[in-house]
Amino acid sequence: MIMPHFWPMFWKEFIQMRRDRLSLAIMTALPVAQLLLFGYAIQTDVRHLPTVVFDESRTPESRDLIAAFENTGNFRLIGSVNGMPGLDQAIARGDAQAGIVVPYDYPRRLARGETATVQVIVDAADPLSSQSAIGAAAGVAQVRNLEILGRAARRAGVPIEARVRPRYNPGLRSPNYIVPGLVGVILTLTMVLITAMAIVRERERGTLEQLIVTPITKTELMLGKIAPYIGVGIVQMTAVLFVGRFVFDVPLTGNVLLLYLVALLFVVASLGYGLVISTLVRTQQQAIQLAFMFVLPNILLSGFMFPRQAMPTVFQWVGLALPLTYFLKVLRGILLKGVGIDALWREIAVLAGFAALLIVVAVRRFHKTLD
Amino acid sequence: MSEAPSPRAPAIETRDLTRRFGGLVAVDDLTLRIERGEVFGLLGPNGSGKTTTIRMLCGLLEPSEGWATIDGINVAGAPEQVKTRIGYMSQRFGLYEDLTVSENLTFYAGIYGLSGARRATRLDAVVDFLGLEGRLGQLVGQLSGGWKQRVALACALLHQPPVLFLDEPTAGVDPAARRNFWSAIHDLARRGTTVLVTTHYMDEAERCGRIAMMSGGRLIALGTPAEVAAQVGGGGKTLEDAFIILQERNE
Repeated sequence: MIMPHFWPMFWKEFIQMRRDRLSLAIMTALPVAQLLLFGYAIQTDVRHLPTVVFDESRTPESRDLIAAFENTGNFRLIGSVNGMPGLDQAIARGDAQAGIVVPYDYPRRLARGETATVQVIVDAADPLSSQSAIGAAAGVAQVRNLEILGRAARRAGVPIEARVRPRYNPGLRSPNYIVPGLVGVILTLTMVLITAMAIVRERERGTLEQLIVTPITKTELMLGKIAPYIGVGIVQMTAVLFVGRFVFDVPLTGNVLLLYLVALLFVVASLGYGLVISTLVRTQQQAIQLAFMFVLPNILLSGFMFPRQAMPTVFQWVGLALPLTYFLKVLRGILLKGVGIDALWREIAVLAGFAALLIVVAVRRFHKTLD
Repeated sequence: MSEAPSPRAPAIETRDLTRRFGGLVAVDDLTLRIERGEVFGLLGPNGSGKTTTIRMLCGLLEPSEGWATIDGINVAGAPEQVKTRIGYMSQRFGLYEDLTVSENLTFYAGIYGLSGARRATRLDAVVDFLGLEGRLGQLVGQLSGGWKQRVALACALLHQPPVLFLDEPTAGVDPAARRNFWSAIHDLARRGTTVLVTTHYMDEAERCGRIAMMSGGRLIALGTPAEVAAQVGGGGKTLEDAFIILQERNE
């Protein structure tokens, strides 16, 4: 029989996993917390920015303009003020994050065909929320300009229109972007954290000494230890995809079976990283610290939250050493774009390479001695 | 010294066995020859090198110098072959406390490659030998020290090893349980198992066929308990007297 000691090891790990409350808590609470955090709390498309208005002209034209701002959905009017100091104060206190100032000469300049200005003041301390306000303000002005210029030129339509078609995520919804990535992040977090403690826990409890005087081989020991968690990873992924589909309306466009096959490779690669960590440390505490040090770049550099194209070259390289970077491409490719192996074979090959390499490194680094 | 077991070789043999940890010499030039079926005691205070010696004999630590053989097989040369021929109880309890007695036994049976009818026979045999019937469903973590030692011995005996290493097996175990444990050890020896046991207790040393006294990593006396006591010179000396005198002389 090939690897005769694998099954006893697998069975033992499985029983221990079932009885270990800490591991069970990590495996169930982490995905739930992450889903809630990233799915609900973290929304990158900022809408309904609280806004104060200082309308100096008080005319139908100015009210019309302010209504146009409100209609974009980016600005939520919370009140009007009677001067710049009032507006500044509202923004400084944080009551408002935007202010719209319509000068008294707005309707007159508009009527004369001169450039009429409207000021939009934005609290840019938070760039993400100010960005959408700035874009919306420019949009309001542009729509107005086209109307007025079109009338003046007596044209039926505008000369050029760029018709943007946002493919794969037409609503530009952030859950569509975040939830597939979350599958990868949750798997990385739990798989690496749990296996990082795998060997070192046996060392600390004194059970490793008894285990390594037996004829079990290093490979059987390592594979038997991680095998039960492959199942855990698949269950976690299923749960996140399920919630993503039915709670956050994330589409499952492509071949889900292919996704699960690639996920297997990714899970083994992550478990391999955890095992390598386990061979580097002497205590469980060190293992947890090292695991978190590994997880952080995964969240920041893999393209989960921030686009990799925007990163300095060095950090793009670091990202290439993380299995999650490749798995994210596969996740988004299959779930959102519906593409198959022909588009993703490079990423799949790299993941397979990672899985094999990391297991080999972990087995090589582990010695059946106490030195 | 080879990588194949030899029927005429002693059960355990060491030559100039030495282990250093940095500047500390834990075991210094140890030469021993232990025949099959012996109950051999390794005595000495804490830090005298007993545990390091056993760990080298089991392949858990590599010797800095010298060599050791089990049934004629070089431990450093073929550690995996040696591992099928030895049973080991570590000083610190090494079974899984979150598994039941029966789960630990089944696990170690699998790890020692037992399957099918042979596995069932061996499990029955060790459970019967150590009287574990009533404890099988209990979590090992909930057992008393004496019962834990019995389960550990059961796991170490599943594959019927010709050589058994017991590192302070009765530390923290009550006297009645110690007596039971030792009668089990003598049963095994009568059936041909070679037992190497370390201990602090002089009454246990008296039960060994031969003993070696270690101090500061060196062998300071070797022989039957009576011979070791006599080596100190003069009759009427007990093994305990001998132990203290030898140790003081060595310091």
